[in-house]
Amino acid sequence: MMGIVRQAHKWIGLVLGFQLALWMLSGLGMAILPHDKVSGEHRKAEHAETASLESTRDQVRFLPEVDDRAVRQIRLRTFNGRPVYEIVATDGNSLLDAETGRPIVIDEALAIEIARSDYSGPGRISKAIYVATPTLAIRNHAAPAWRINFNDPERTSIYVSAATGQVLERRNHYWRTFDTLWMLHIMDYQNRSNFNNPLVVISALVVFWLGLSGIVLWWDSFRRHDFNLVAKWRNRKKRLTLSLTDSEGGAVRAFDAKPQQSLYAAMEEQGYPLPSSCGGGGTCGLCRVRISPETPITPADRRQIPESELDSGYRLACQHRVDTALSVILPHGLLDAKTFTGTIVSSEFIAPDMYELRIALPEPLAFRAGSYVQVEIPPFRSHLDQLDLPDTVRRQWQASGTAKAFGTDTPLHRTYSLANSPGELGSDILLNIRLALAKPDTSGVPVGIGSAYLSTLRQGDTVRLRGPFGDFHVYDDGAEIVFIGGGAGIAPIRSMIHDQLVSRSRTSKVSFWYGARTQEDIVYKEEFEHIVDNCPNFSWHVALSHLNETDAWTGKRGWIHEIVRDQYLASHPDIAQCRFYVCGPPPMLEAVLMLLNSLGVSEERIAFDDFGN
Amino acid sequence: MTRMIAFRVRQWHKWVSLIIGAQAMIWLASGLYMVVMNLDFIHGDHLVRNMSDTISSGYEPRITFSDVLAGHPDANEIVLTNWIGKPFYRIYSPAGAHLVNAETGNEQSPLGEADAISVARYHYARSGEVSAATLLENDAEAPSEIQSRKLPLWRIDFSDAGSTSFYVSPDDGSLITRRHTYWRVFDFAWMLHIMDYKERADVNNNLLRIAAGLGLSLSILGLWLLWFSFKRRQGDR
Repeated sequence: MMGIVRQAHKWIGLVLGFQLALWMLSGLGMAILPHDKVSGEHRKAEHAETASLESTRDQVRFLPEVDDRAVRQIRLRTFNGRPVYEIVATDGNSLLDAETGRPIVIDEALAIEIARSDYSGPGRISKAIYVATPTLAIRNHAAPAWRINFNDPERTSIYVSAATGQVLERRNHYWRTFDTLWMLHIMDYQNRSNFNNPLVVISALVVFWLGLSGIVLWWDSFRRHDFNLVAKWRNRKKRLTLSLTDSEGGAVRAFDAKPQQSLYAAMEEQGYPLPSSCGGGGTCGLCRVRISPETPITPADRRQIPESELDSGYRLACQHRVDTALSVILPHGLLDAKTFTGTIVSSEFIAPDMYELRIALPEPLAFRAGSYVQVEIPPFRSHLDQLDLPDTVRRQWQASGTAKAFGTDTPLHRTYSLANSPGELGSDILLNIRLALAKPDTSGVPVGIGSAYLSTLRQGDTVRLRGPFGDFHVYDDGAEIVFIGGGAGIAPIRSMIHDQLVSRSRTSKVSFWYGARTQEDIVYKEEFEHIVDNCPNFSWHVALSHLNETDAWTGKRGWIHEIVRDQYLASHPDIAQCRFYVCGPPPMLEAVLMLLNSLGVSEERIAFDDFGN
Repeated sequence: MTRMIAFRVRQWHKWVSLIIGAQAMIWLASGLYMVVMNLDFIHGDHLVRNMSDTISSGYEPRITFSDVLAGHPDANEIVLTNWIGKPFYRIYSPAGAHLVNAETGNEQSPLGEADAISVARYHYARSGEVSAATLLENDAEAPSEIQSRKLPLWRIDFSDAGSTSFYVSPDDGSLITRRHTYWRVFDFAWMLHIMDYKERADVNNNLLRIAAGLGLSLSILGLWLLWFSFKRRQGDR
């Protein structure tokens, strides 16, 4: 529920956040601009009350006539020292001299005189302009007018009605600024007067939900201790001990942290930045760490972390405060990972869409079988025509409809499991990289940037790596091991099998159930057969899922999770004593985990590496 | 370090929203009401009629402007007009306003209750009945909805769905203004919008200035956060 509200808040913000900021900005501007200057009152001469008619009494000789212009009123008043009649008619107003009955024409000289007597500032008249049709500045008035400009700093313009000689408006830069802000505020960009226009109505309706969702998010964002100011003040100098532990139990670091800040912030402050792409919003799930399982679970934890991991103490670091001494268990390698520059030794396609990259590091990498490294992909641009690919791969690329041009403008990071076992190749490492081409029904999508970039590298090229990382390791006991894997998931399994059987001469039963699409996709065949020949406790089983009826293949056909169930696990005498290590493409991984679950294998007997890409 | 900045920005956005969020919501709700309600309706244009009466063509008043001026030598302005169907003079002087019959010269002002009700009914365009007539003479009994208008005023209430009130000047006999429920709500929304809870008129008050500044920073922090939120996730495994 909160997830939906958060999404709504974000997307409405994207669509109309800028308008909301404009409303706030224009509102602030209008609140700051002093109203007496906006209205021009500060430059208005202090006139006595409208002059009394008494002194001009004898001059009122003419009697006005109610003609057929639909006259609404006839007003007798003084104007410019003389008595006048103003005829207020439906089609406009006019002035008559009350002594002679002659119409009074407001010419330029008269308009200037009227404006000058109305004005009290330091400016002089710089220009008089006849305005035949109302402009924005006199949009509420009908008649033609004289615009009399003054050269004061705020560029006062006094508008005098050409029909009645009245001062219609006093405009200046304050007003012009205010009026622009008003336009932005009511979103009527043409006439600046209609605040019932559909644009502003729809915007207000939508942004109203931005506000509502924001208020709902308060409940999700604030914790009770946020408001415990007394405790905050009392604890301002207190320091709590935060101890960091590697997931393997090693590399303990302890430091003092300020209380009441988030664990994420405390870690960052101490130089252990956790991964995050949402910046502490609890929405990306990347900053998970393991703390005490008793720590209360927040709604964000529940959304991002599976139940079983919550039970063992995994939480989002951005969602928890440092309020007691804390012991934090980090993913293995985070404390010890180093950055290297590796040199490409060889690059070779070992299956139609997978190549093996051998990289020499400046020094041997200390890692456990099953670990992965992070590879930096620098900004680059390339094209299929520039690649030196086997013809089959090139044809496959073209057939899949994958876009031919590819590249990135910003550095990216991609992670790949190590396929070699520790010590196997000296200081060299081996990566299995699957060229991520478009799926059949997604023509035109770009190739996987990381895998395409690395395929351009040739012997002698360098690459930046960081590692080792990961918690996917073989448990150190004498249990039977069942490896299930496929695709590029072969890498950590090869590393583990090599490590257990060749380097450590493990004696317990080990089987490897390998799913591939076709015969061409089977990699490291000779190696596994060689291990089988030397280790009587090891067996390996390949099942092919994408064969035609007519293809020559004497081995197993079908999905590997169904084969391992039907041919091995269903009749296994003591499945609870096995340990399972699973690695492969997401659909395979999911199918295998469902299978193991249905067979009643407990979660702690299963380890898997999820590299959905 | 961008993720640390995002983290800080999120904290600020959260805390600024706590300070100003409720007022921002009030701005949105009151603003929404004001833009959704048709302004002519709010002004009560649907409540009135006979607002642009004219004087019959060729009419010659028996009492002339000179006669009126002789009787009111201190006048600043004398207006011949149509007052509820008949020609009258309105006379304005520093001492006050008067309403004088242009045919008989009789002074109609100050208007009694019956005259005030006549004015209200003459201009009232709906089907409600007059339910009350009150002469407001001193500031203590003046409702805030007449804003800065000068007393005395007749308040004529109608029994209609919008609780219409007409205000009539007893001096010049004119319909000064009209009020109804939706106008009153609009005025309340305006008060909330500009945060001047006393006079409902001062848009330059410091409370509004500070609140608008906080509101602006809230929305800018929000936009900043958006930028982080929609940046593509990088380096995910």
